[in-house]
Amino acid sequence: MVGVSRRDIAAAARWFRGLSRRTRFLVLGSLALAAVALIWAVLNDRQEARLIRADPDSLPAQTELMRYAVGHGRGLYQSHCSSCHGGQGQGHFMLGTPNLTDKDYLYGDGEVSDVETVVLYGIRAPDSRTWRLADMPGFAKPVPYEREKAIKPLSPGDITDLIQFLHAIASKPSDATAATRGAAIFAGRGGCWDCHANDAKGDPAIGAPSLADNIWLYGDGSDKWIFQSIAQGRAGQCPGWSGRLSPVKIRELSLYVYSLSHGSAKPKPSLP
Amino acid sequence: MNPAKDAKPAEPKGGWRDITHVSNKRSITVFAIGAVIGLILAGVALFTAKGTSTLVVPPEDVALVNQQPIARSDFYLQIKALYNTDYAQTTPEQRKQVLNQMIREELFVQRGKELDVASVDPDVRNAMVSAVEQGIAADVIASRPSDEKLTAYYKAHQDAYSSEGRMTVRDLVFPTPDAGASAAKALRSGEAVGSVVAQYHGKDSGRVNGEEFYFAAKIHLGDAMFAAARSLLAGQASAPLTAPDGPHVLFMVSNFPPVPNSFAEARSSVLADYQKAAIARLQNGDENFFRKRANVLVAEDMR
Repeated sequence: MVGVSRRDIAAAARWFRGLSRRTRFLVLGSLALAAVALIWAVLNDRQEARLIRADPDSLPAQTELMRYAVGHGRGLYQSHCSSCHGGQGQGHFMLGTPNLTDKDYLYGDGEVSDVETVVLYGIRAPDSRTWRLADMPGFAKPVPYEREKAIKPLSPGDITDLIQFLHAIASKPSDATAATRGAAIFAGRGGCWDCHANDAKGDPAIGAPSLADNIWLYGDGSDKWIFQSIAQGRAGQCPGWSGRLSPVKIRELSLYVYSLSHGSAKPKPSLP
Repeated sequence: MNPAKDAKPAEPKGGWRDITHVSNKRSITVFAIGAVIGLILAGVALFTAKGTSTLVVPPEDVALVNQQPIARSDFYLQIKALYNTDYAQTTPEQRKQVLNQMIREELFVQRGKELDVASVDPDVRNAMVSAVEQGIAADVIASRPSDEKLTAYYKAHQDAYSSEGRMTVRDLVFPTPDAGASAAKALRSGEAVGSVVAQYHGKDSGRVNGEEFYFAAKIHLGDAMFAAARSLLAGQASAPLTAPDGPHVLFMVSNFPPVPNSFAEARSSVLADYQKAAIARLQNGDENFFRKRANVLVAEDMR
């Protein structure tokens, strides 16, 4: 051993024996505490490494890791997400923050990797990797959609017809004549089909919500709220946490958010 | 035996807890605890510090290229984007291919830094400016303003939060000024639009069609006529308005001026506008700071 001779060790032993019982207990206790802390840190580190190395979509089947991550993710959710999505993940219809506890997914299919992509890069967040493929145009504006100038404004009557069409496809009472006109606008000059799909069931690839399921991101589904959405447009934002939270924390947070809408979900089968 | 030499140093009266006296026990204990904590901190700092050269790829990365990490999250995203499928559904060959592409990209980026590409390539420069601006904006987006701040912002900019006004107006053109004046009088007295048009040989201009938002009516009628129309209540007619194609008389069928949105209705827009304003403020502040700390020399003829 470099620099430490047997004589030194003997001197240290003599010094240790010379200490009172209480001091010896304190020294040994401190060392034991440090050892326990070290072991805990190593085990924690290994657990985190397993968590972060795993394919995110395979994690729901790994109960132990899931429990570990969800436990840590809960606190992260409370401090980073609950102010918009609510303490229980129930969302806020005035802010347009979605309910995270149901199985209605705006972006992707609700897999852990889909959730994690949103947690990492956000929605319409200042990050080139964010989800930013489409906004809801505001049809009561001279230029409803800056990114697609071909979309023209609609009249109040057109919007009312569209609302009747939405009621009709959601099997709610509606004016059939107005709904027919609304269907023509939906599939024609309104350009609604382009994002919300021909069947109005939305497109998770661009975050366009289904209009046929009676789940509303903004408002309560009343004519007034739907009119406002169509007239003024929508473009909600969600911050991305890439570079702000560590990769482990991002995964823990993603798994917690995933757990809000899933029980004991099984992962998709993987290739051998 | 020398009793004076063998005697242990006297402990202070209050034992090691008495900090007014020197205590060997306390010194040794504190020294030991300090040493252990110091070692732990040094170890953590050594193995987690940015830039620490290591032969082990951290779990959050898939590779290190000259110690520059390639993030696992970016790797998964790349796989999904390239093959449009989940990671589990891809083959090892596909994964290797993506990893090789990412390593290649990192190598070229590093070479680009060596060549100082940013100083000559406008695309790289634009991307860098955009990235810094986005970084500033991200700080704002990530911090949620309190309801008090949002309410104060809403109150200060209340005019911006209202519904778009709507009107249904008939724009009638008459052949002569006299006919226009008589038609306006008749409409004001409550005669039906159809009979007034027939009686005074008028016609609908065709500029407006059914109920329109204010902005559309303004475009269709023109500024002067829209100003006249806006002030009319349902059932009222304007005075004849001179135009190249003859006198126009506006008859208002229905008029719904803009209604201020409540804070609850406008909340999402208020939040977006608040954040936009905060981003602009922060970006200006940062720009001023960059200018302040920079040594900018401007050519004499440009000052």
